[in-house]
Amino acid sequence: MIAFLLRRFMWFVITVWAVQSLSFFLVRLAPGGPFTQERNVPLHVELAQRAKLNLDVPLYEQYFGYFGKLFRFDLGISDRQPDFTVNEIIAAGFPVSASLGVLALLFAVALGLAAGIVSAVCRGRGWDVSIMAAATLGIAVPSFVVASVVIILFVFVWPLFPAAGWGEPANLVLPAFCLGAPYAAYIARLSRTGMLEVLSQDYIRTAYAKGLSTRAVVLRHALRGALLPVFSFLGPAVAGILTGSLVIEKIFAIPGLGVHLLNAALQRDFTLMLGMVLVYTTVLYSMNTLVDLSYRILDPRVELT
Amino acid sequence: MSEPLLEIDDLQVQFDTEDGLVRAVDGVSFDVAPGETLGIVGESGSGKSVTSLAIMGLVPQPPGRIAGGQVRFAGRDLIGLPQADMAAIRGNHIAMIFQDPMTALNPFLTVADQLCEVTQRHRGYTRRQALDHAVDLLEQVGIPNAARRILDYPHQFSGGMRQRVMIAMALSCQPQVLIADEPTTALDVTIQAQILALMKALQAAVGTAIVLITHDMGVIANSCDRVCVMYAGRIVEEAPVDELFASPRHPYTLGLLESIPRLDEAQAHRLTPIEGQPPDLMHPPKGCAFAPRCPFSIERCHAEDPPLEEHEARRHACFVDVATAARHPVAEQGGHGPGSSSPQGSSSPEDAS
Repeated sequence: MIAFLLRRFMWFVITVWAVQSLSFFLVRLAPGGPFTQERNVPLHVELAQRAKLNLDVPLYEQYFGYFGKLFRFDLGISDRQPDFTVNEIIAAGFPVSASLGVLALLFAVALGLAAGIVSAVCRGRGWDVSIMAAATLGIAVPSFVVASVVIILFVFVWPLFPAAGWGEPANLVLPAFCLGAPYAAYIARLSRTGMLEVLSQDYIRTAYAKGLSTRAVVLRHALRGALLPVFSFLGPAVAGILTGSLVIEKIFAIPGLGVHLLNAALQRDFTLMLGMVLVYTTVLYSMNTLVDLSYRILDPRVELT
Repeated sequence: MSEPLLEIDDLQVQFDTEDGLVRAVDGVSFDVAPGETLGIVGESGSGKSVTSLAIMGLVPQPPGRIAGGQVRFAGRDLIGLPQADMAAIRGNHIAMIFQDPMTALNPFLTVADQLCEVTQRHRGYTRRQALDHAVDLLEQVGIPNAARRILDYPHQFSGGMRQRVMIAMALSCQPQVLIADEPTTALDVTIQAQILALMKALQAAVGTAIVLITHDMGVIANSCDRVCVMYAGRIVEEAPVDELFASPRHPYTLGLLESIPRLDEAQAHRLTPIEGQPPDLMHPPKGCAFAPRCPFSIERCHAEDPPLEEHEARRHACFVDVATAARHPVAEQGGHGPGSSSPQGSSSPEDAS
């Protein structure tokens, strides 16, 4: 277990190095730079700025300088918002995006699993058909459409929640729902398929032959096996929720990281961009490691390597 | 013989498939007395496993359907019993062992979890009591180091050990009837004998009646008191085991016996296989289902279905007396279907006399 985590950590360092290096050169290869603006800045101002942001030295010096600071967890000063360090921007935005993402994910897993299991157990009956119809709809409809519908329904027609903003728990409900809905739908389909697969296994027949109730068979004997495909989807789901939150944060005016990622890319804010990439790499990598660990907990036959 | 414990009466199980209705079990009747071992033998698809699942109320519905008949346990009909009542009987009064111990145990739960839940469910044991009981059972079925091994997962056991765990699980509540569906088929031959001996020993200790389902005549000879031979969803012959081996009365039983090697024959002779294939249950042939493959068949066999008649505590369903009738070669089967019943009948009409 500890060996597994150590090995994973080693690979994490390598992954971060590779992703950061790639991003470092890619953002510099893209046309334009932090000083490309409609209005030309006087040359001496630009030179001063370049010197301040360490952009006036040769590329390899910039590269080693960046990694030297990265080792000390210093992501540097934002190229476009020189009053803030990238660390500060992330520290302000990450908790916001993270709480939204975690809530959306929890909602997606809880609703998706429940729907999928009910659907599988009632296979072919009314519940199954309606749940799967709703799930197909959930996957097909993009989140910004869901967001508009939800805002019309629960802000205007039936004013339960605020339309936008941040700070109150009530602010989280609608965006988390919109962000999680397609994943809930996907998880419902996955867990239904997984459950049906497991329910056809011989050991389920054995469980019934022991005289267990359907409830006990489903929850005790079948659920774990049905969870496996759902858990393997959680890695990609987190990636999707991270990038998806960009749109949702914009719609609901939430001061998360999404807007920074977008602006960093559009405005060629090199340091902020690299910082955002680092955040996403870390979240995804940790999530995938957690998924692998969860396999071990769910299925005793799995060996961690 | 004492009052039968389990009475199967005209049981009919059908499956709705895309191609039509399959009568997997078509009017099967037999009794099981307390403490006896009844063998049910037949080829794959003869309906023996479906019969056992029907007794347990485990026929998957849909596509399966109990189309008729009764399964009476201690006088009470189990067919149509509410799920909760049936669940109280399963694993408690009637238990079952399945064919493949590699897939019949849940890979996600420890052996302790899977053993304990039976007594916790049926006897209201606490986890502690159930665990003690389970360790006792594992020792009884011959698992060394039971107290430690019980915490292992099924994949840490060998096939034979897993089948022992299955047996321990099935015997947890000392059931009156144990249905063993090909319990040794998936095991090595050396392990097969051990498992059969174990079942016999436990039967003697607990007094359980065993319904042993197999396609292996050797297993039948070793362990059963009485045998039902099934063919195409019906019982074609039933007899005490010695009599069945000494004087089979149905041509199919005879065919089965001739197709296995025997050590007690002075002179080795070629084994005689049963020609042809089992009938398509979607389109069973008119008359006796075995007639197209039967070397004794007469014209009447292709027109009428021989009833299962009782003679001297034995039952068999055949118009011909295989002890005296002459054999004729079996014609090549011209394919299945409703029309395939007529041509063979004309091959040797002189046998009818």
